[in-house]
Amino acid sequence: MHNPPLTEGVYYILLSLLHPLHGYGIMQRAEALSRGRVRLAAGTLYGALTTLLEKGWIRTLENWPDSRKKQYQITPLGREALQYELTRLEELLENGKLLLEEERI
Amino acid sequence: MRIVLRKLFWAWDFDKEEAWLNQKSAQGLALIAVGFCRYEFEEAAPGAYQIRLDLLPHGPNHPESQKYLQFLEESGIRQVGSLRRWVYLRRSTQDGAFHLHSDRDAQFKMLGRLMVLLGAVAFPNLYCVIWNLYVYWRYQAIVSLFGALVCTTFLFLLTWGWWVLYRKSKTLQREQNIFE
Repeated sequence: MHNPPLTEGVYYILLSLLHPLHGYGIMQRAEALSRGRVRLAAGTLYGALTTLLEKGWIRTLENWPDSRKKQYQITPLGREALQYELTRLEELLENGKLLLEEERI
Repeated sequence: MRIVLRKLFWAWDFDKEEAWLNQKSAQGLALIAVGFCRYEFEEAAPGAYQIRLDLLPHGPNHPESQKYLQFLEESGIRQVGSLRRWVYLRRSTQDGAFHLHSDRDAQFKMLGRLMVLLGAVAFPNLYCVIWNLYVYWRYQAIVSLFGALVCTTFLFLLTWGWWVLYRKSKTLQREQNIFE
């Protein structure tokens, strides 16, 4: 898999959907995970979820018990994309740290 | 008690309209219905609701729009009215800050939709100007000259609106060049 970098919003949506959640739950989870920094607006979230469903990175859960709200969950393909993004971010971090350390020496 | 206020906003001044509605909400008037240049409010606790406007890609009754509005409702956002493709949404202030679009792409898309709509009205209008001028030139019909003047005025207004939206989208683009 070779994807362009994910936006922060999409990254946190995928992370949030490691467990099934509805739209409002995703907003709250993303905000909590980022310690209040990433606040997904409802319109933006809807657009992102629609695209992620089309790409097959997430799926909707039908007949989720005791809930009228539509629930979403990450798919194996979405996990793969998330893992790829994590590797990319680690590379950014490692290179940044390495070069800044060399500067200090 | 219900209060009806009448006010005109141009389509390209949707942000001013939104600010005015939020100002009314801060004064204890919550929006409950909209019509052409008509706003209906009911008394509520000052600042109880925040209002946002959104321009849908389709009419509010289109299945895609219904899915979107259903999603918003599940997120605690209520549709209080619609005017053609515009929807007026409100959310309780207790649920936190209310923004519809936290990414610039969605804001671009909305401005783009509005620019296309203005263009769709402007082009037939341009045709009317040309046709009326032709009729006046051919038959010296004063009524056609008057028609051409009215259409030209409207065309200038639409062009001005399009220019306002273009400047808004350029400002967004400049920010996008710096931030993700």
